[in-house]
Amino acid sequence: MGLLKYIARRLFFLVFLVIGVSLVVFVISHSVPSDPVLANLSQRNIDNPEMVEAFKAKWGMDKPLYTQYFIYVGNLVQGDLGTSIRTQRPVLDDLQDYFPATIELAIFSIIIAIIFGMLFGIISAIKRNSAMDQLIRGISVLGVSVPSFWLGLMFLLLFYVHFGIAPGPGRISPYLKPPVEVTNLYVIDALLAGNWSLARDALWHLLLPGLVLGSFTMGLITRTTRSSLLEVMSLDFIRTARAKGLTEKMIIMRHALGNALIPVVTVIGIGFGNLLGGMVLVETIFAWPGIGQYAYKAAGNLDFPAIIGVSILISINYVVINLLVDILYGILDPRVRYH
Amino acid sequence: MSDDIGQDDLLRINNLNVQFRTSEGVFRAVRDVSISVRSGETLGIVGESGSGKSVTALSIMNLVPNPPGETSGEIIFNQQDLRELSAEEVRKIRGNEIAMIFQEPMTSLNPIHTCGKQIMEPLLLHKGFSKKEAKARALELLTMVGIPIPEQRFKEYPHQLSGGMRQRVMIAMALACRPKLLLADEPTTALDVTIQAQIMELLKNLRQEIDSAIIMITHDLGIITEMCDRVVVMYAGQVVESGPLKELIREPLHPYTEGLLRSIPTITREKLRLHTIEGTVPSPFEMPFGCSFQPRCNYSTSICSEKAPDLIHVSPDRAVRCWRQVNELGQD
Repeated sequence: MGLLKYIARRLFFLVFLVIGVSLVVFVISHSVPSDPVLANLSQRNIDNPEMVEAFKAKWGMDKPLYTQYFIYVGNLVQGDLGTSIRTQRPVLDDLQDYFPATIELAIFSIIIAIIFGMLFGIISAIKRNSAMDQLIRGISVLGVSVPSFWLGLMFLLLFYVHFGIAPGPGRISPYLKPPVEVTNLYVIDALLAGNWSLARDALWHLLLPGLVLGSFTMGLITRTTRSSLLEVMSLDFIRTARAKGLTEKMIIMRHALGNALIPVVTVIGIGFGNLLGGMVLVETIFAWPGIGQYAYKAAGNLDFPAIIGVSILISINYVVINLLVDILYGILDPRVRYH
Repeated sequence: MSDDIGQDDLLRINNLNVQFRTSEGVFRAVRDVSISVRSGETLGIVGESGSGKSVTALSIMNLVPNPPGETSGEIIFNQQDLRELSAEEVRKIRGNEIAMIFQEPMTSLNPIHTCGKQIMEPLLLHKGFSKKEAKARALELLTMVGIPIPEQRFKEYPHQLSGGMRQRVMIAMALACRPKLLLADEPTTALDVTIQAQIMELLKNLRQEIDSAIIMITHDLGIITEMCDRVVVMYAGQVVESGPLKELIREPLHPYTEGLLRSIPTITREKLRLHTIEGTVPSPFEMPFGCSFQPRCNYSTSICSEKAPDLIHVSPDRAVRCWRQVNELGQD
């Protein structure tokens, strides 16, 4: 009961967050020393004052800024995110089209990051100071510090161009047709349609961008798991577990890991948020038709409604992920209670 | 060197040495300690912080972390040297035939498992109980250690219990497999005074019920006098005196024991100030030459700062490490 109330309250605050984010992004995007007219109209139309006036009038840019904002918020509370200047379609429709590709990639990345991050972290902690530990620590430092645009280009160059073992950019091979749309997550949709080879192809295409996108989070999870596990292993209740005669494996699996996971969950939350931020670069490099590319193009055109729309979407994601992390705390740690 | 008591000892430690290599140098926590415990007996080990009493207990369980700890000597339990056994064989004895209660009940239980689960664990591991049997035994243990509404406590997590209750859970857990030897390392130190008394009362009563031998480690001579049969006094990693409780209280042979006994507060004594032993325990890195206690000793003579005394037996039951006794014996 307490938990449901807690979730309801957190979601209620989401409303204020969305309005706040819209304000901040609105102010920042309008302060950019650039002109949407220049970004969107051709040179001939720019020279034509009537065309410029018509453009401004169409997008409400002839009104004072605060009026523009109130109109925007007025539409926002009715669930209308406006129309994209660039695509001329409702922003909500655009987001619905582009978001599944992003979510599919993000989920794939975070799963890879969690599995390998935790695995590496555990091995590293158990084999502390061994050659294996040094190697893993080296990899995790690289994962955290190498910029994703460079890693993405190198991966493409090596595994696609040079060795030819990984597929090229895009969500599926160019000669294949996308699966029937259900969730718009290609792997899931292909599986639902029973098309195994298509699912495998889609999964295979996720590999390189997924690794690049997840490398930072994986490094972070590895390091946190290692240090957290080492810390827990030095606590009194681990000595109690030893005194009970448990094997080292039981001590780690039953007594240490559960406690060590608590800080790791926080890092997974942070990492997932980070992932969505890193999307812009990775999607652009891998020609991934997702929200990152959409945001990149919208920013280039000073497409205000699209920019604000993407920002709101990503901030909602942050909130939902943080909420999930907080709920997970309660599952992992019986001392956490929701009020 | 050892307390020669004979073959019926349950546990016999011979010439135990434990040292830690640290960046500041080698720290000899336990120096040449020999102790024996008979079945069913309660042995008290008393000493100040840093006297090596806890490390002695941990080394019986083979729980001294290595590195940095290095252990040597013999630990003979049930006619077999635990130090000769494989890690796997020692593990099967731990928590089963030898169990331990720790000083900090607040942190010694795993916060993410219920108390019941933690009590059941050694039963499932060592005794091959089914879950149902283990639960029944766990509830029985909770009742035995005086926990009200055991069915409810069984399901609760450690943070829902008070310090005293947690220590009772620790005791229940230690007694789960009916150990032959129970090591209690300052079981009441971290608790409130009133709770301390309750836990001591519980341990005293349990002593009659279970027929485990107990090694009670404490810095509190009051606890020792309440429940021990024999006492070992440790100072700076060494045994300085050992013997039956009554004899040791009536006639302490080592100046340190004498000092400890004189510092117990009593109601009858009409002194306003408690007796204290002058000075502090020497730093493990700067042990005084000769006898370790010599800088604080009122009876110190020239030989005390020149040569370290050996542990000598003044009677079959009593041993002491002091030049005064050596000299007296020599004169006899």
